[in-house]
Amino acid sequence: MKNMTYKHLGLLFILATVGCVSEPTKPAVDTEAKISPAVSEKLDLRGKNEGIRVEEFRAQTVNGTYQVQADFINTLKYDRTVFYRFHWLNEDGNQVGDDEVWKQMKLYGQQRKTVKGVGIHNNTSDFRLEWNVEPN
Amino acid sequence: MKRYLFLFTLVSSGLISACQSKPVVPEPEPRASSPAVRFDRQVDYGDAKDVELVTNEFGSTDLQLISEKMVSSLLEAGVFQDRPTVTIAPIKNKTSEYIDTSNVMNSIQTQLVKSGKVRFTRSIQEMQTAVDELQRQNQSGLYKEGTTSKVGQMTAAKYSLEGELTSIVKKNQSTKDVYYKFTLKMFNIEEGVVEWQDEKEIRKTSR
Repeated sequence: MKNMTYKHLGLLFILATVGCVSEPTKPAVDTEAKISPAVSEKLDLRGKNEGIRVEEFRAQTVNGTYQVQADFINTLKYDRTVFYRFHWLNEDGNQVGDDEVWKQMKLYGQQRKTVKGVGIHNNTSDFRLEWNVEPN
Repeated sequence: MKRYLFLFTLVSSGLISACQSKPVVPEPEPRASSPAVRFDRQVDYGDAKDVELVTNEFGSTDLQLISEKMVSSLLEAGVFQDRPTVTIAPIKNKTSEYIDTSNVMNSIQTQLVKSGKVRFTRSIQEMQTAVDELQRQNQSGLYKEGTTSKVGQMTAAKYSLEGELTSIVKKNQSTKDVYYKFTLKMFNIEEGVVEWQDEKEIRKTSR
């Protein structure tokens, strides 16, 4: 201890203060979702995604009815409430029929859930998914 | 040296304790509102398609969710390939609540008609009005010959939609849980067999 010089003390002081002013680590909120452009162009997110991602869409026509499945993933350990609805479009991009009812869905921490939508009109050929997330 | 060491310890501990104190919390950013019905103000015109969270009794969102699910399921099942005729029967309400279940059937019928994939005949409840009108046209002597709708020309339904709504309610001092189940069946009237059937389950929990 006797060998400790002013330089040593200064160094310790600087290290202590640098440690303090460094940025605190941010919580791992997945705001920059790694999703493909094909998926993101169908999404209409209001506000922040709060760790929720729509990873994939699958669209197909079965018995003349246009169907879509969307995979929601909660990337965090916290539960989230998702509100969503599909908008059905014709080949010109115009909306077909009325707005759907909003659906409320609870996504537990790190849960994956598939939601399904059916465009009931004959001329449905595309869709948009409108959604927002509420932290629980 | 001991004095300097004491001073250093004092200053650095002061700094560290200052660092550990809570950081200044920035103003929270306004979040996008959720499409839910709540009491933000006394009266408000809202979106009829918003999620209604006022109580956990049967509400507009339940009605809309049920009809949407049933219509989607019916259409994707492919039972309406040749645009058949369908009639509707009253829905049995087996819950403890008063619910106008004709609303549920009306919503299902409306969406199916708009899909263009099915034709509906008059239900039993609607038949008397048709009979009265036919009698007025054909028996009152008020109308020109050739302009009246003839008796005996109605198209009969091939299928019948019949449903029921049940509920299970559980309650303790802090929580009320209501589980609704809506079951809809489509019968082939001539053969008496179930051509299609599906359910919609809804859970609503409140404190």
